[in-house]
Amino acid sequence: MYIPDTRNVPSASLRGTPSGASIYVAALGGKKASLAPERLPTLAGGLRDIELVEWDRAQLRYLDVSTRLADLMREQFQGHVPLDTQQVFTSGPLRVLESANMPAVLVEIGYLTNPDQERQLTGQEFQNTFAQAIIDTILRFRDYLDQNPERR
Amino acid sequence: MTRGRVGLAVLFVAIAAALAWVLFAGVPRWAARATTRPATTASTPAAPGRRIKARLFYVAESGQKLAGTEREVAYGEGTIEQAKEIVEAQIAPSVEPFVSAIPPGTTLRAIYLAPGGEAFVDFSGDISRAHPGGTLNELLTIYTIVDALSANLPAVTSVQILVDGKEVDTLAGHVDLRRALTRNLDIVE
Repeated sequence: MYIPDTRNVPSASLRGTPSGASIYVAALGGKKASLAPERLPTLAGGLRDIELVEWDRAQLRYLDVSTRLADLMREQFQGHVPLDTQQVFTSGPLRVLESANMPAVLVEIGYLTNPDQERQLTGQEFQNTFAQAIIDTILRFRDYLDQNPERR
Repeated sequence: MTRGRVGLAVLFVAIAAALAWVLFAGVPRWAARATTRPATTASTPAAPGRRIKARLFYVAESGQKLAGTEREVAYGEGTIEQAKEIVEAQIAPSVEPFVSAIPPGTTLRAIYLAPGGEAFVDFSGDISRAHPGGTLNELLTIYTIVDALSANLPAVTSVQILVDGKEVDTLAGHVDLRRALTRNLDIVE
């Protein structure tokens, strides 16, 4: 999971009206088939099957499980923290996600351009609720991986 | 004067006449053609007043997606000139009820088109400096340009955004601009 730096958290809307948290999953072109391992020589001698992938496309093999993580997070947020109407975006090659060699989502916790939400975002109670929802999501995701080891 | 000398004189006169024609008629005609030829192959500026309809993109009412709308833009001869006209119309300050995802003050520096249909669109640094930030806004800004070009110009297969003539990692920290992007319909209502 990658939570970005404070420069752009929370976000600002060009229309000024949206509110709620947004969850992003990377959208990368290409197919998993391109991740077929290649048999390459190793330093110790002999050959080994090695999966070669460009550094900035490492997220490609995790897109399905990252989407599952985003869904769990959305479920966990519901009833606890305000979600925007779009909720989960899979709209582009996000720089902070595409190189992550693990399941990864990007979370933006609200819109500063919404005055009501700006007040809420600065409150400790809301921040604690939000942090707890993220922790609970991670625990649920760990259980999911334990039950579905093939998706690790 | 012998018969041979008469023939030689006739031949000389004929050659002189031919040279005179080449010098005074043929060369000027060739020169005229040579000077006009580039004008037919070089890009021609838009004919004054001529306009076409193009699909431009603005921030949707929800603030979370783009909405396409048909607008009139100046006609440009050829793909590059038309691409310039479309981008200029797209980055122009928007009028109510439209809201543009392009930061104010952004200007177009140049557009290049590679043989494979990859368009390189070079903007002034304002597109990055004046950007409000946020992942969603960055997606909206970038795909306003990418979708405007690829939706209206079949010859454009992908778009790479440059800033001040250089390749950049991102506009505001989120969306990878190190490679050309293809049309994104998921972000359009």
